[in-house]
Amino acid sequence: MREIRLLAEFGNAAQLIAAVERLRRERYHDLETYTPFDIPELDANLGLRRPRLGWFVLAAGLAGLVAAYGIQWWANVHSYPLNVGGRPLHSIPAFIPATFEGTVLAASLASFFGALLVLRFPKLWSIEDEVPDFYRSSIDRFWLAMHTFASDHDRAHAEQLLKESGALRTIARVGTEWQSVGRSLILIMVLFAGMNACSDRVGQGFDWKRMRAQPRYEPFGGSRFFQDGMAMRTPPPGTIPREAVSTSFDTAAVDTATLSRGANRFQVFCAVCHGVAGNGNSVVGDNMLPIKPPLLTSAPVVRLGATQLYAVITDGFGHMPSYAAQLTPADRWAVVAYVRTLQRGSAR
Amino acid sequence: MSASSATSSSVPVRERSDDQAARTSLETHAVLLDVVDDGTLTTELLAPNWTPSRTWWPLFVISGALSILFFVAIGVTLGRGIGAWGNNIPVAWAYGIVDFVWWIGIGHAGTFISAFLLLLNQRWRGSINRIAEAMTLFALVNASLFPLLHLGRPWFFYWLIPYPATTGVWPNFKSSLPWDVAAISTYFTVSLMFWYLGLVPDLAAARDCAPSLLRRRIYGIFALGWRGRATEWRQYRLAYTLLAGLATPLVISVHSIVSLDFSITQLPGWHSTIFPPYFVVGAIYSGFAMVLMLILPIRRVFGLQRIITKQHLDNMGKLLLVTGSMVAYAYVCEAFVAWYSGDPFERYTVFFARPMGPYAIVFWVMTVCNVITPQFFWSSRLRTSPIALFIAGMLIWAGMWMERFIIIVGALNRDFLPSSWHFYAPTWVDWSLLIGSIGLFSLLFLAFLRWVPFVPVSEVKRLRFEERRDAA
Amino acid sequence: MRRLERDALIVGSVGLVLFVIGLLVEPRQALISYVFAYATVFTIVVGALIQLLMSHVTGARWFTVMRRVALGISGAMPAVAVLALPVFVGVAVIYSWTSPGTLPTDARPIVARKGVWLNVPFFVVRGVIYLAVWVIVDAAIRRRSLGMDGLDGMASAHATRRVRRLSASGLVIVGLTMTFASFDWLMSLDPTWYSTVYGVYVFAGGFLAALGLIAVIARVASRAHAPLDGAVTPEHFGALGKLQLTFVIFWAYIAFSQFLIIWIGDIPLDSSWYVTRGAGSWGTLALLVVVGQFAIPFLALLPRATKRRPQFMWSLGVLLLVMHMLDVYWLVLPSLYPAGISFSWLDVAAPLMVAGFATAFASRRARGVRPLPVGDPYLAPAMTYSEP
Repeated sequence: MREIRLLAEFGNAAQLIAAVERLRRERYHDLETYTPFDIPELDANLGLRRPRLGWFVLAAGLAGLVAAYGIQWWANVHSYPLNVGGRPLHSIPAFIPATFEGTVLAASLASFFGALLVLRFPKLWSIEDEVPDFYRSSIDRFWLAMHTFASDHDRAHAEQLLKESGALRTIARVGTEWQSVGRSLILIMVLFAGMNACSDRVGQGFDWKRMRAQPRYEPFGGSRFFQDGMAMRTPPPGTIPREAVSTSFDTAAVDTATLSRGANRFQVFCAVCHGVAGNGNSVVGDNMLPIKPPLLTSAPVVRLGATQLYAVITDGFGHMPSYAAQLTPADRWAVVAYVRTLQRGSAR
Repeated sequence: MSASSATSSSVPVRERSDDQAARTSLETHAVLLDVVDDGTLTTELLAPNWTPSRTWWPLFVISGALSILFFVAIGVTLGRGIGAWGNNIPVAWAYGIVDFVWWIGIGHAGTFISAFLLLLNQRWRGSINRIAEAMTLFALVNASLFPLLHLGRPWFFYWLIPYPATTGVWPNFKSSLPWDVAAISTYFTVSLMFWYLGLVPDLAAARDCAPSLLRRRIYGIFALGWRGRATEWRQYRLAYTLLAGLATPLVISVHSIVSLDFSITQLPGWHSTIFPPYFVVGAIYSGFAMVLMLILPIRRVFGLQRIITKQHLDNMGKLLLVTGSMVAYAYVCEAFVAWYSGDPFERYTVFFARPMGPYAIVFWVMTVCNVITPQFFWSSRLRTSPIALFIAGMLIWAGMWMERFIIIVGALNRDFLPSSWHFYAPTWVDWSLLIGSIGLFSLLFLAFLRWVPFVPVSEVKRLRFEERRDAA
Repeated sequence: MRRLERDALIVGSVGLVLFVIGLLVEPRQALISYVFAYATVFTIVVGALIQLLMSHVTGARWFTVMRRVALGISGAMPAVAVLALPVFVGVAVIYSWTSPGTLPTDARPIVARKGVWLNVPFFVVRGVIYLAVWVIVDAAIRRRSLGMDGLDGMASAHATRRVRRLSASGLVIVGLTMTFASFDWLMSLDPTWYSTVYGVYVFAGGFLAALGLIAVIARVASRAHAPLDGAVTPEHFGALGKLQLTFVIFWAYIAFSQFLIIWIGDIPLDSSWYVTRGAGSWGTLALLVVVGQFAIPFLALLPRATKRRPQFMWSLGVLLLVMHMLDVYWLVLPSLYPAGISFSWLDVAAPLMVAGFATAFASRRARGVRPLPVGDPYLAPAMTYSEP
């Protein structure tokens, strides 16, 4: 904003328009007016160039169009394609409404913020404020400002002309302004704060680095402490795995009570699929797809060790779920024993 | 472009002496009545922003109470879920969506008056456009709450926005619901910018008239340092016209997209190709009714008869008549083509379910309100009567709500299979949300009247300048 | 004027002869082509009438200088009424609902339910009513408007008020009759299909073409030494261009909303209409119409400068007329050739006949009519109209 060298106040719009016309005829230029309402008639005489906001808005609108359509294409055709009622993935008619909205949104944002940008708003302080009663420019007074003169004589002539056109008063020379300094300071502060946003100290003082890089050994990692260079050690002798208690069984301890318990548990839990005699003869087995429960009396199952049978009950196998929840380890051994009797029985 | 002075004109045309008198007599009423001068005008128009009128406080308190009811109802909905509403299967969309469409429709008239009439150079819009735009904004605030509440888990509303989510899921753009999201967010943003841009010169006038330093500072910040420079006006004019030019097709597209919520389905009574223009016209119709309900009391309370003249009332009455007739046309087309289609479900919906079904009373009241009421405005005397306009406005305002109810609940309640039919009755939460939203609207609107210049002072000054120049 | 009348009469007569030959040789093709030609013309003439009525109701100042152009076009209304005769006489050949036995079996019950509406006597009676309404409204407006020429001052103010009221009521009945005419004469070509917005769609296309025709005539009449020279200026063309832009967008909006709703709903009864018209050569024609009636005019009418050039507006007017013709072709002919476009010499002969006779009648009726409404108190400001 340059300094104002001559400022004139008018009481009505007609006088201002006439004054500007006269000045223009006498080849004065670089004028500015301050009016309480829009007076487009002044534009030609003030030599205002046609604003280029329109092109910016058009460009923004096109960008919005491409972006809106692109997002829809990406979402529904590329990233997460979903067959919705047989509509094509790339449904052009369906994409049009949201594309239209995106275009209008982008163009409107460009109009509004483009205008603010060109006008360098907010411009809260301005040199005209130093002029007493200037505030009436938004109420009922019309001001005219001139910035450049070829000579002092020119200036005097202009002042004379304005007085003839009905100026209520004329003021010479209004000072400079500090507004842009303040704006730059704010901008610098914001940038400074922003640039520090990416440090590790962000987030209430937590040291995230310490969490990400913890001083501990990873499995299969190396360690110079031990001779073999491995961090992982074999368990010392006497270490008992969690289910060790249950993985051993004394075959001599199988008695009638165990067998009848095993039979009972088998009928409850296993016969459903494997059949009462362990031969797969069951309704569930008949309907099971794609693989039916194996014949417990068949050769491959007979060849399995007792521990293996126990493991199948505990962990499940293929379609068969784990029965660890339903059968205690003792019961599981009982079932295994019973299965063995079925197998021996059918072998005869 | 002074055409009449062309040399080879074979047309003998002269301005006859009494042509001017003829024109004046045709212009029945003036748009602006003897405004004294700009200074008095400014003081008068901005006075309500400094001291509220006597009626303001009681109305504000009542609105506050209704708004609290609104928030209580919202709380119940969030806490207990949609089960607190009367919605059921098949009537899965009921009061929530009716209120949503109703409020959005009301908002459209504001943009229509502001943007569309600006493009048509209708000068009379100048006095009322800010009230209309504010109405749009607050109507949109209400309107956007309802689809969010309707979500069931409103705290996940941001899933509707297409962003790269860790879930890997994107919204389905073949459905009209994401189109709604795009349309309403765009509409709200554009309306807000349009309203604010138009306000800037008047905020500057308020800044300069403010009775205290604090108020001057506050208005000053929002006025962005507007000084009324010719360069500023030029940019403002262009941006404002561009926004108006963008807002006009936006208005049409937004309510068309809302209508597509229904018409892209296969339900009888919903799957109708006339829905987009029908809904747009209906929206503007209901919005005009609400504008009248707002402007007539404001005109009386603040003594704005010189700025909102009988010409304004006349024009609004004519617009009610035009849009009301278009809505009636749409009813005729719907009814006839439903019969013509030969489809038994369409015929049942239009000729049995609506006029004789469980909501028959609503249907008939709606028909009287929407079709008969505007026909009174063929009379120019009624058009300029504030009481007639206010009553008509109220009837149409309510009638259009009922129309949305009949369309939405009426069609869902009686769809294809009789075994699916289920009656819908609103619960106290539904009613509270409706009445509460009206309360919230009045609260925001009263706040607007209190603190924001609600008559575009600079536009009225411009109008006064033009009229004096034309008369000279 | 007289030369136009004579030339148009010759063209019309040639068309008539060809049409009669066509009737004897291939009656169905001749009559369907006739429906196409007739629909093109009646939508334009009624569109011009609606623009005339709207300009009176809205009080659009700038249109005053072009009002007699619109009146001239709508003056063809009695000819339009008479030219409807082949449609009524040939109703049994044109419309498949007249002989339900020829319909596919699943369509018969649907059409039977509409029997109260779609039967020949009621169809003809309704058609006569529509035409009568249009002729009467046109005659009433004409009488009032021409009668104003002799008035001045306060008398013309009264007359203007009366014309405004008449136009307002006229709009209501013309709008309704136009809608039902398009349902009867065009939509029932496919008797199982229906669309509630169809009336608006046909109106939009015809109205846009009427605006195009107004631009063409205004351009020709405003050249040097022509009747409207000096009265119709680039300012007026600019305003006409804005109106055209609005209705280009309106037409596209209606066309798109009809399409989107039917396409996305995908109900077989609805969508079959679009399936036929979207496949093969019909689909190409549809795309051409979208480009020619929306994309090109939209982009061409956006800049301020183009709208103000009379020669450009003339070219655009011609484009709009041609596109409207293609649009109506796309609406009508698939009922005869669902598989694809099958161009026939009768597709040229029938338009020659209908347009020729309509133009001849209109120019005859325009004899002695003043090119400007001299009695209108708004004429002088209209002539000095400048676009804001």
